[in-house]
Amino acid sequence: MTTDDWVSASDIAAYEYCARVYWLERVQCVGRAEEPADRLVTGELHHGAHGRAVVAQRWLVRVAIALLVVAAGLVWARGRG
Amino acid sequence: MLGLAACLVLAATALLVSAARLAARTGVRAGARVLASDVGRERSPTLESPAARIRGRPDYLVRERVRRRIYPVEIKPTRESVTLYESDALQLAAYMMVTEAHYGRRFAGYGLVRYRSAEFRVTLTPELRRRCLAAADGVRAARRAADVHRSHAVAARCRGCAVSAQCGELLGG
Repeated sequence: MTTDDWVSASDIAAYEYCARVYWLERVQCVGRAEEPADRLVTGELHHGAHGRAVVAQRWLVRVAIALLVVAAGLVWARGRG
Repeated sequence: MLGLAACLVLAATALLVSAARLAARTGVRAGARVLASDVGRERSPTLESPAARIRGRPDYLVRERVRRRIYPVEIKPTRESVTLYESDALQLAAYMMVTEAHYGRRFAGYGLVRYRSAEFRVTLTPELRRRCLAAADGVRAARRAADVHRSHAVAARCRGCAVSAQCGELLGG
C-alpha cells in the first residue's frame, strides 16, 4: 500500500452515493456545475445552528445546576436559622 | 426563603426540560460531554485507522455521561428521510472505525446519524465493517480505473447531480 491508498470517510460516502460521480469529480477532476449558492449557504447555516444548539444545551444544564445549588443553599440556610 | 428556593427549582426544571428538547433535536445527549466537534468550538483532529487506511473527522465525538465511552455523531441537518441512506451508514462506519482505532476499548461500539427530524443509532457490526472496507476498496479501484459506471438506479440522484453534463449515464424520468 502507498499513501494514495488512504481513503477518507467522505470519499466512501461519495463513492457509495454514486461511483461515477465520485470518479468524475475526484479522479477526473471534472468541474461541478455551479452549486446553487442558497444550497451551500443553507447547509452551512444548518451546521452552524446545530453547533450553537449543542452549546446552548450545555449552558442550560449548567445554569440549571447552579440554580439547584442555590436553592439547596437557601433551604440549608433556613434550616440552620 | 423557601418560596424563592421553590422558584429556583421550578426555573431549573424548565431549563432542564429545554435542554432535553434540544438534545432530542441535536443527537447529543444532555449531560454527554462533547470531546471534539467539526461544527462547534472544540475543533476535532482527523482520526486514522492505519490498519484499514481510512481517515476521517466526524462532526462530533461525544463521551457518554455514565459509562464514559466515546462515539461519533454525524449530522445531516438538511436531509429529510425516515430511512438511513447507505452512503451515510458507511460514512458513519468509517468514523466508527477511526474512533475505535484511536480510542480502543473506550469506543462505544456505535455511532449516531442525525437527520433533520430523525436519528439513527448504528452499531459497528462485522457486516457493516465489511461493507465499509469493500467501499474503501472500491474508492481505491476507482482512482486507478479508466472509467467507472453509475452504481445506482435512482433517477432522483441524477436529477440533482452536479456533474450531470459530463456523466453520459444519466437516468431519465
